[in-house]
Amino acid sequence: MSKPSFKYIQKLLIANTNKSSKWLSYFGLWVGVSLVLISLQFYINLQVILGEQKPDAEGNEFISISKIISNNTMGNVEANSFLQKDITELEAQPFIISAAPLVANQFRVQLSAAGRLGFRTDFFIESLDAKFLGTTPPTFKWQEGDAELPLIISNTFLELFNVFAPSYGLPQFSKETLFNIPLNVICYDALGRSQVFNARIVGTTDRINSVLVPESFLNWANQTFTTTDQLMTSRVYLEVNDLNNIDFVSFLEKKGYSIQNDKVQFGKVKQILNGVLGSIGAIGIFTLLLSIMLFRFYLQWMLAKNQDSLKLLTTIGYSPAWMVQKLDKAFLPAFVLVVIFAGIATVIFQFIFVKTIPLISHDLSHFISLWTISSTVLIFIAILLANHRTLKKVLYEYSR
Amino acid sequence: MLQIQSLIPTYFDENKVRNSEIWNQAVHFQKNQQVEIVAPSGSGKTSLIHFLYGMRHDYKGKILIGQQTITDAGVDELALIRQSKLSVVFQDLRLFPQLTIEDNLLLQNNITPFLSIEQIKELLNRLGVISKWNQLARYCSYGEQQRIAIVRALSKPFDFLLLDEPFSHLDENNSLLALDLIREQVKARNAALILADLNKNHAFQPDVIYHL
Repeated sequence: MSKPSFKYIQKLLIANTNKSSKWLSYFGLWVGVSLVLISLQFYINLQVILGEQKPDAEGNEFISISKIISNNTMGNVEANSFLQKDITELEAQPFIISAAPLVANQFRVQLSAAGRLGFRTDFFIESLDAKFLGTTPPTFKWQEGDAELPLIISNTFLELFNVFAPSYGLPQFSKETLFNIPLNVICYDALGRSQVFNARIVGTTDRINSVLVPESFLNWANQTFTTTDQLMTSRVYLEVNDLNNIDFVSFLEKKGYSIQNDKVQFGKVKQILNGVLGSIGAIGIFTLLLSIMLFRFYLQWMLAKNQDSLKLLTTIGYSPAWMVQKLDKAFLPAFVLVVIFAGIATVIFQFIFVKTIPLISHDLSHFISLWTISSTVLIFIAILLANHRTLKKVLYEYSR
Repeated sequence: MLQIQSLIPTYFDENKVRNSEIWNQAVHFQKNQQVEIVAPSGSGKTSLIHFLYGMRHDYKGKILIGQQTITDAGVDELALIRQSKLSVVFQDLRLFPQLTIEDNLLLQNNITPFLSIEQIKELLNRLGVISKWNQLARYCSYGEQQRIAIVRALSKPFDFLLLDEPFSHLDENNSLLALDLIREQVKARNAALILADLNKNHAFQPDVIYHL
């Protein structure tokens, strides 16, 4: 026995279908799927862009805190410093992943450009647990007897130097040139005796606004050039998941710790952006649901219009299961096209987005993300399932 | 075997079924049997045909076909029964009015390909409606539609053929032609013929007559 063909049924249903309603429903579905995919791609783009600001692969953020210097504590170095118990307390907080003191020089330090540029200034150096620095150049280490002291400076300092250098008759430097300038770091003990170290800048950082030396150097120097045995730490460096965690912010306030302002500002901007993105995503999903519902209404209307014929088909021996299966198949090519065209719309969006905002999009792919592609497949499956459910519900109802 | 066990429409009065030879009785229809059900207006003739065909379930009692109960069969199970065991000519014919006679018959043949298209055309020819092949069903006269409905019912396999006033719009000559064709096709399938009508059909000589 040959398998029954669907073409007669199709002929029967198509004869009684309004073409403009059909195309409108497919168009609505396309708009819905496109919007949700574009929102998702937009979300991913912004995550990539915002992600560049995050110095850590796990998405953790780094920040330094200091104690707020008030009129009462002014001049009281001890009150303005972090003691070991403060650091232990910080580490014990659930919203703080780790904490380490930024150790500063406790003796006088001067920096000179090895005499050639006639540049000599009082200066400061700090050191930090290496794991907080991220990737450091392999040359960033020191042990007693080494000929050269490596330095890492904040990018901000380089920018500031280049802004003010001309006013002092000094040349402006590119990063590459800076690395080649021989420098001297001069350390003085309490009696004014000095020791000169050849130094060279080996790296720059966005994380810490300071001049960093290897921890081994500063530990050694603080012992060598000072007589006090209590180390004063005025800054502590923290690793946290979320700068905007309410518990974290209120803890800092309660303890009277201040935080680098721009980081918090960025956190706020990010929070607002996340809110905006969340709304875009919600609108996208809402539109998708609406368009699936619109298509469902079209389908129900089409089936209702053909109710008599569908009932008669079951009367002459067609099973609803067979009809559902065949109708599922009949809609498949149209759904494939809707999803492909929505995918194309998203690819075009991404291409235009990357082209029009080159400043922030240098790390963005010209093509849509894998997440968007996987979501396209999921949405396609969701549409098939929704369609199948409606067909099954209505056809079995008519067959009773 | 098609069995009826204590069947009463739920909307029937007990008094109404008191003298019936089918309602509230145990009745068996055998394959090969020719049955006539004489049913005056309002006695539930069309309801009975609909019950037997599994289209309505508003009755008490039970209907079985072989070992299968029609009474609580699911819609997909009923579809299988209709494809192979039961065939029907409804009183209201139930053709697809928007389709041609060709499409109406091919739609049936599509799901139950028992006769070839040539054989189906031959059946139409014998009932004098082959000229309507390309015409929309809605433009055929009621008598023509009745003959086409008969051909549709005969073009598929069945063990039991249910006929509800199948000749009501045919003249005597056409009725005889249709009856002959029906008997011939029923015999070819070794099937049962169950004809329900308002009055006794004198041309039909059944094995058994029931009064509804």
